[in-house]
Amino acid sequence: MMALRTIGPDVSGQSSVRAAAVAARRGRWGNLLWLLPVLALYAAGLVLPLGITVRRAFELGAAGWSDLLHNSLFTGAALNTVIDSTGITVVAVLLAYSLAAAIWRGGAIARASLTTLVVIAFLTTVLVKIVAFNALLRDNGVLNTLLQALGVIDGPLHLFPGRPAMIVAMVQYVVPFAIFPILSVMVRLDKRVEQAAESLGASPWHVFVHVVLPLTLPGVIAAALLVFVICTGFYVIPATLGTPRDQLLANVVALYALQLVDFRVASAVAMVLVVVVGVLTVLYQRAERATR
Amino acid sequence: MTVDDSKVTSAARATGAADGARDINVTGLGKRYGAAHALHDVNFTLRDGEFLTLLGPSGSGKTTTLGIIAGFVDPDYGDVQVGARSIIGMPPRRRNLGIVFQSYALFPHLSVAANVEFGLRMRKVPAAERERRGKRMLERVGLADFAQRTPAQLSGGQQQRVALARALVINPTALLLDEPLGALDRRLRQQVEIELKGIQRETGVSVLHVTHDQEEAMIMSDRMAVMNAGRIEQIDTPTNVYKYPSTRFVANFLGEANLLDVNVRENDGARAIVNYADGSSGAVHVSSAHGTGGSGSQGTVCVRPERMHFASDDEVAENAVCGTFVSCLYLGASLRCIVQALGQELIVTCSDHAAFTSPEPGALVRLAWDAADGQLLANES
Ligand SMILES: Nc1ncnc2c1ncn2[C@@H]1O[C@H](COP(=O)(O)OP(=O)(O)OP(=O)(O)O)[C@@H](O)[C@H]1O
Ligand SMILES: [Mg+2]
Repeated sequence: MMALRTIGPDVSGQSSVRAAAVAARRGRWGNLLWLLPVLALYAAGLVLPLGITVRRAFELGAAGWSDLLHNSLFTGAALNTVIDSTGITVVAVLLAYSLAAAIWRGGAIARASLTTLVVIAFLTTVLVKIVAFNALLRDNGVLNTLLQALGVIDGPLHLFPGRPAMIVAMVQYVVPFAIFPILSVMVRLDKRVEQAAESLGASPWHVFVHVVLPLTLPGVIAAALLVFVICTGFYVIPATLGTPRDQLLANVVALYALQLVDFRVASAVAMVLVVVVGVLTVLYQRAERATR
Repeated sequence: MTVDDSKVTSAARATGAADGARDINVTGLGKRYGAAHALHDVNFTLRDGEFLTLLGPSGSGKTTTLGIIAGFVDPDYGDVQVGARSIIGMPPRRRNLGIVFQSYALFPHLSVAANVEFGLRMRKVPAAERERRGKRMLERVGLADFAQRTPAQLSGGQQQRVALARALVINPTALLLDEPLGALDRRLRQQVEIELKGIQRETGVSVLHVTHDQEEAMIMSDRMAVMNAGRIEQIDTPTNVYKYPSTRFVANFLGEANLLDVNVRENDGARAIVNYADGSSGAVHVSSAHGTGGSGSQGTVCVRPERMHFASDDEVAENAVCGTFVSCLYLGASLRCIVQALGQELIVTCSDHAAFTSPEPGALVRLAWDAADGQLLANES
């Protein structure tokens, strides 16, 4: 029966499929020509420095690497990076999920205003956000003044500089990134699948747990990987909102390259970052493909 | 004949069964989207055990009606009752109705078995019983060997049967089907029509079925409701809807129809005497229970092409008109002839038998039909 049903399109479709493939191949090479300037830029700006970094990192030798692994500056920053990135990923994905759900399910007005807010947050440069958080969280900032005026606290809370300010700013920075992969899965959910579950006796909670959540999970995974990758690259926010103890791996790279002028150690740390990010990016692309 | 008889008995069994406690009564249903009326005073009863089809063109309000009964759409006015209890405002999960969509809407992340058992899981049926009932239902639809696959690994027809099994396993008060065969190709469709009807007979479940395919409606239904622009124009057995259409729309939508403008001379509600456009008079049946004009009014008479025949000049007929033969198409089992008469083209079909010889184009012919085969239709409102 299945064979019968596929005979029609297969027979008639084959030659046109082949023609399309040929056209696509020709198109691909044609496109490459247009890409040449970009490729040149990438070769000069990314591949070359990356190659130099790798070479420098290997100049460090076994002893140098061993030293690095016992260097508390490196291990501390590595630990910070893992802990902060994990925490931020969990919090940001949860926030992004609820925001995406609100946009997805909201009425026209809620949808438009929330989307606008997300896009504004997305497009605002990180420096502006840092200034804003500074004004909000410093000892004589808006939050502390308000809480003291209300009598909730006696002295100011030391939120800035420090981890609280840093984490809040980083979460705020990554949430918009996490919304898009989740939302793109949500909007493609078939309303009828949920209706089918409802008609079979599922309460709203059961519809969510048994249908919506499993079907949006690919988007959640993609968002989590994306956020984690962004977190491992944070440099400006820790540098401006954190204390020296709160610094992440990218800040260690900058420290060695710019202040201690030890390019071999800087390269080694950078390489660790590049490898981690590379693996996560491959995973992200897989996950992202699964959302389509 | 046999088909008719079996329909009558199943309908009789249905109504006798539970004195209406499981009937679904739809009264005065209306729904507006902005300024557009999607539904207009829709009334019908889905009797227990009955296979009722909502038939109508795209946009006539079939899905909206189904959605209101299922609880996905709130009506603006009107009521839906199961037995004597209104279910308006009740969430879909408490209505105990099995629903099959055209897109099937299976749970893509669950196995076939888990799909079918979903409703039982929501009802907290113990695992062992759940599995047993799920398995039995899969056997019934012939998919026992596919239990561990996911929906994506099934053909369209198989997915359709999983959706049916999933809806049936909860012992629903009624099964609501929204064009469940729409995505299947023609050959498979005819097979599934028969299977579906068989399963319905076996289980005795009431079915409200939505389609815009008249053949499908004729084959499967005990009764059908023909919908047009948010209203039900006629509701009756397929035979009666075809034989005794009550409006122009129904006559045209179901099969072919010759629609003749007439002057009504006498109308006693069952039989009418009319004058055709050429002045000749005839007797016809009054098929609509209401809305036909009395004497002196304008009206429309519907005559099915297969109910008209070529008559000799001396044949005595209750209705006869003269015309010019235009053309004739040979369709294998039948002939489809076109005759110019009463200022319009009339279609006459006759079965292909040796006695019939096609007249020459341009020849004068006489068409005749019995009073029982002409239907005076309701006036358009
Ligand atoms: N959510 C909605 N918003 C606005 N208008 C709607 C909505 N749903 C249905 N309609 C309108 O209501 C009318 C009836 O729609 P409905 O889906 O019930 O038709 P249908 O008979 O099921 O048609 P089809 O055979 O194409 O499925 C249509 O004119 C449609 O445009
Ligand atoms: Mg529809």
